[in-house]
Amino acid sequence: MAPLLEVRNLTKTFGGLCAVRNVSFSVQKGEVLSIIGPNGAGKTTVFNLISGFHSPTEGEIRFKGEVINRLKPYQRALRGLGRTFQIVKPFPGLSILENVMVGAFARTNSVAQAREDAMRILAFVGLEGRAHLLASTLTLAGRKRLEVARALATKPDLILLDEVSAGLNPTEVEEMIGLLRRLADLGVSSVAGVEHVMQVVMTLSDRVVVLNHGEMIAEGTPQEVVNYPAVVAAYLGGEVASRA
Amino acid sequence: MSRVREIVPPLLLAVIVLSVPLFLKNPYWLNVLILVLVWTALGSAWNIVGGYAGQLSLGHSAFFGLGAYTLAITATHLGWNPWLGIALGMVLAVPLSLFIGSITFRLRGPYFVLGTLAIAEVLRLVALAWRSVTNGAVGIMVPFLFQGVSRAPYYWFIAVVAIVAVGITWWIERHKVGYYLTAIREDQETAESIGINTTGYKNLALVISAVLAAATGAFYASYLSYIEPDIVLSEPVSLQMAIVAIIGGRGTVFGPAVGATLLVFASELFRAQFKQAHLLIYGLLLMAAILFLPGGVLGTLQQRLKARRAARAALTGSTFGVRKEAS
Amino acid sequence: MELLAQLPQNLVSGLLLGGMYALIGAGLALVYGVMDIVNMAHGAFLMVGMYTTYLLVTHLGIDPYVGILITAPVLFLMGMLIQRLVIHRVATASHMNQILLTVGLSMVLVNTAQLLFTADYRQVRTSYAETVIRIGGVAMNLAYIISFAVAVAITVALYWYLMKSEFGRALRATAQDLHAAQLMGIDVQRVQMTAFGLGMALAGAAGALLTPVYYLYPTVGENFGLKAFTMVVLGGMGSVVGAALGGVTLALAESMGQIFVGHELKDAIGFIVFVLVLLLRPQGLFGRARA
Repeated sequence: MAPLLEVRNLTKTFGGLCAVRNVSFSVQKGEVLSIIGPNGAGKTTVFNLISGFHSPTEGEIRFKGEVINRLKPYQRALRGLGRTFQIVKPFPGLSILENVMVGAFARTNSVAQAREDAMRILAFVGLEGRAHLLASTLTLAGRKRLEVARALATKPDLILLDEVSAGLNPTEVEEMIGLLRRLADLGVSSVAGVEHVMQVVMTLSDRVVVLNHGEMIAEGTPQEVVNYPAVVAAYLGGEVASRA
Repeated sequence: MSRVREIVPPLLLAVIVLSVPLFLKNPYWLNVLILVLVWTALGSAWNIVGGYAGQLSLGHSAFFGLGAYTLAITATHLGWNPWLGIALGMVLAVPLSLFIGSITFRLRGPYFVLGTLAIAEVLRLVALAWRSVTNGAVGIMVPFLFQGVSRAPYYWFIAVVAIVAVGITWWIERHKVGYYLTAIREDQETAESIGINTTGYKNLALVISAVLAAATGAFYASYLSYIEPDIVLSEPVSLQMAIVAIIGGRGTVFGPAVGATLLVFASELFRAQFKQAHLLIYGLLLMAAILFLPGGVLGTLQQRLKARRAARAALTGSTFGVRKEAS
Repeated sequence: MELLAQLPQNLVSGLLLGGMYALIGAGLALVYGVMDIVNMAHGAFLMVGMYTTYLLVTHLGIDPYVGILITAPVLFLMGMLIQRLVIHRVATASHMNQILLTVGLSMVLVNTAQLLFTADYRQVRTSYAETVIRIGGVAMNLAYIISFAVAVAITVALYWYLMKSEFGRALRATAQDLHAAQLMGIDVQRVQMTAFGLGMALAGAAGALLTPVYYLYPTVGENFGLKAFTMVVLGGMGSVVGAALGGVTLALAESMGQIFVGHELKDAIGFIVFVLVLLLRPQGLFGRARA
């Protein structure tokens, strides 16, 4: 079966700096893929390339079989590619409900319908009690959930989650994992996440891709990947790996 | 539905506004109210782009001037019926705004603002230099739209324009367009990522804004019966359009109306003391607004009400008890 | 061709004017390029410098060039005061708020001048302006030459000051990283006040230099303000030297372009260049793309 998202030979250079080099992977319908790697490995750049905020220097991105290299971010979103940002940015002047409604309008022109869809999503993420409060009143964990809710409102087939657990305390991480587990209930068949929090990676992912210095150094199930010497070296340094 | 109840006060207000000339005959006061309506229309036009979409344009005089000059030129050089001239001005505002948008919307942050200023200035200079068409600094006499001594017809014309402008704003705020423009204002990048064609919507806002400004410009030209580049294409016009909306409340439906009323009355008040000091006062009020009341009069009020209502709803646990979701 | 015959003359005039433009651009680059404050009142400050010089000449009989010794410090103090009372509050705010605040400030300054002096065009007559020096086929107004020389001297002195002096280092540190500068013991508040004061003083000095060769009226500064941004953009963000070079480039472009588009559209050249540079080469002609 053709993968939902397919990335081939993705390369991005900024000026003289090569941020991403020859990265290829795919996401199947129904699977959860995690992209991990040390800081500066190019993970967010890959997401920016996939979602359309940068254009690749080389390489091809296919979504649902269509090459989307030339599409603007909003066009990719309308085709079912949702995304959250590492630095969460709720619309500060809008209420929590209104924030999600903006996302819902991707699938409807009616205010009443958007409101209904948004309330449903808020209930899903557990924020419905605060629907009319301003988004700026939320804590970080709340904002992360709002960010996910807003992207979910666009009814994506695949959602790109950029460090969605970063900055959360252990309880909040547990809650986030619980939320992410249920994404399939909303019709989001696939998830690709950039993650630092290993707990999320290990418990949720079907497969893991490891980046270092912009290149892929490993790919496989979570259990396989954590034992690769190259991966250990990337995170902990060469000495440790050679002793392992 | 509560939507019907919601529309009654504004409709009532519109009726009251329209009926004023039936009772008020004093030409001085009619003139003042006409000015209030002119700046309500202009402020509302600007508000769609500058308030809701958050694009701080300081070059809207381009559209105001386009409307004025289209009427003046077609009426005097081509002998057209002035109503046709007004219509043409509104039509031409579309390609002009799309052109300006195609350039300025590519500029980020402060450069967008400076870009709009630059383009408006170029238009003013062109109008000054293109004497064969515009008579340059000498200006053009504009024929009367209505015969007779009474200002009432002029009042009604501009009242309709202002009501339409405010009405369009009212509609935008309550429909998808309004939500999208607000999202663009708050965070354009995020807006793109959730499926909003930001370029398309910004251009849409600009086109609507431009057409309204052009209509008002044509009216103003006829009302003044004389125009020249420094009256209708000058920077103070652009600035006042923005100031009216900012002081009254950017991103609110009635903000520009409130701002227009405040500013016109303030300038009338001080006219006795200093002749041309209204711009000085506007400058001071603008600074005061930015420093102390950035949401403007209505904007600040609305934000406080919204927060209070939301807190109350959260306390009582009801989510559907809150009636109007104002952006 | 008759047009081409004007080239050498316009080239020289453009170059001379370029010296003064360089000063205008450098002053804005200090405030905008270095301190990241979008100051829409830069042109108004220039106008204040012009009227101050005018007053010194007409009421105290002081030579406009000598008068800079008074004009510059007066404007420096004004700038510091304005920064402390008004600009300070939006120094960390969005660019939009800075723009709106300084637009308001500009309106206040310009219209106060209008109240005090009326909209009449005024002129300062000096013996320099009446003297013309001819070299080859080119005529140069002595006032232009002196203004050019003084402008260049001030710009060079500014550059030297920013690079070598302790204040200059503190300024550059603050511009790069406010918090780090604070941690290093730099009185950031003082630095920002001084930088803005300096920016205003430079605008005022440029105004003083323009007084012998330009008509004076309340809105004279407006075009210069917008052109100053053109110069900063041409020069590449954050570069005072770049903006100075941008000023020379702009003056030359205007002077040469005037031959083809005529006197009335001369100012439009700068605005069109502005938009074109932003669209096609946003890092400027002379600057490096800054992170």
